[in-house]
Amino acid sequence: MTPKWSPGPIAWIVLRAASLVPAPVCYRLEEEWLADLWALDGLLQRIRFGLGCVWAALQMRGDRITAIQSKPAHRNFFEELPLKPRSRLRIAFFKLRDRRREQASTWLARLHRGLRADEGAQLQAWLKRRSHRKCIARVAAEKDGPEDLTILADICELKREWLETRHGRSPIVNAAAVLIGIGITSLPVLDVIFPQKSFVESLGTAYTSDRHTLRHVGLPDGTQIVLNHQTRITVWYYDKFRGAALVRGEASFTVPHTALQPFVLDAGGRHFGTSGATFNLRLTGPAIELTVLDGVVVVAAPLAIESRKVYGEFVPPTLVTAGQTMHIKPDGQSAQSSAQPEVQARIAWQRG
Amino acid sequence: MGEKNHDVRMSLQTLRVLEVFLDCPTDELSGADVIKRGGLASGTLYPILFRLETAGWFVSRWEKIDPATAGRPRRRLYRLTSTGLQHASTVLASFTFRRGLPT
Repeated sequence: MTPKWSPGPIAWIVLRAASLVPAPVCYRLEEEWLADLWALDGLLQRIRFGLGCVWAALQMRGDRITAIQSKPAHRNFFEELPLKPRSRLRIAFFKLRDRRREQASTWLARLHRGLRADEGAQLQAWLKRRSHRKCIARVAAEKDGPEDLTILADICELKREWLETRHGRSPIVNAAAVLIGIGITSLPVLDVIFPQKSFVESLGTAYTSDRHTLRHVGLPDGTQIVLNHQTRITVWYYDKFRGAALVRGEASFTVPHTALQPFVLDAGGRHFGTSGATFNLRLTGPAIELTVLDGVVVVAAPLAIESRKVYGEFVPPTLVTAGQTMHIKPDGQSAQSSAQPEVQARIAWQRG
Repeated sequence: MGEKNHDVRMSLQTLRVLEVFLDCPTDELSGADVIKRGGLASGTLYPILFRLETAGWFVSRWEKIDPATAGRPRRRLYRLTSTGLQHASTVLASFTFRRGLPT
């Protein structure tokens, strides 16, 4: 089954990004970022937003936040030290840039105190590289040093455009964003080419049951999943995220109550979440049937773009409680209470 | 959030965020609003908002709506505090004043 393209993967990226930030901030960011993602228009803008959230989460990780908060305060932009707090996650390009800025600061300090005999030649040699000249000019400008710039202009060639504020991102970053965007948007194409296993599936562990065979799957948190015959699911289990995708067939889930880790299930383009429940989910073509035996399952609203396309209006999240069955079809959805024998009949397949 | 620290690290992106809020100092803006108005990327915006909120320049609250009724998720809204307004004005004025470069 080839999943249809939807903003779902971006929401997944956003949730995954939020989970990189230590609790309790991550719970706030999950909701805030999803709301902001919802408010943005355009696929590319959403992709850019999702990838940006990953970067923001890496920036906001505990060590970085601590480093920023413990750093001596700076009064204004010009007094900022050229080096940012060190982080374990540094890309080689930024390391090189930081080292260059450090060297530029050192040379500016030497210029202030006056160059020694041997330092003049060293500075000339260092300034031969265009990137060094550009860097030292920018550092001098940031430190509000017109005198430094005047001295530098006598020593080497400086260009005025180096000192102008750059609006927008650099061409390299834009090109990288476009390439990543093309990569993500081509995922459905990959799914068509390789229909056996989608990209999203490949991120988790896939379980498949054969014909006339039930399969039991247990997760480290105690979640029990029973697969009806000819069923396929993919399970993700990380520190702060546990979830599964029902690709085809029918499965029964017994999720133990855990306050901190909601269990998120993706099936037929819809998302289901619970903090602890026993429920059965059947996927028949585009139709989904959810039967809750115990606890509460939240059927998340389809994302706005999909909701409007399919239902013509926004569909709010629905709570399905014990004893209720929810039918989701392409033309609508409905939840209704079922009698106990009906509920038992729906899960009778578990008894063989 | 602990003790408020009113001095924060400034960068061009931080200044741009402050500019957006200073354009309408009494308005409450969500992250998406700031992205649209300031042309900022989410990767730089949210750490800045978090830092400025920690420093007491901003306060934030959840939008008071019922998502089911409104037909959309609730947003986190940010607003400049009086302290933030004062500091932001000073910083931006300082930036504009000191930005002159030799010709």
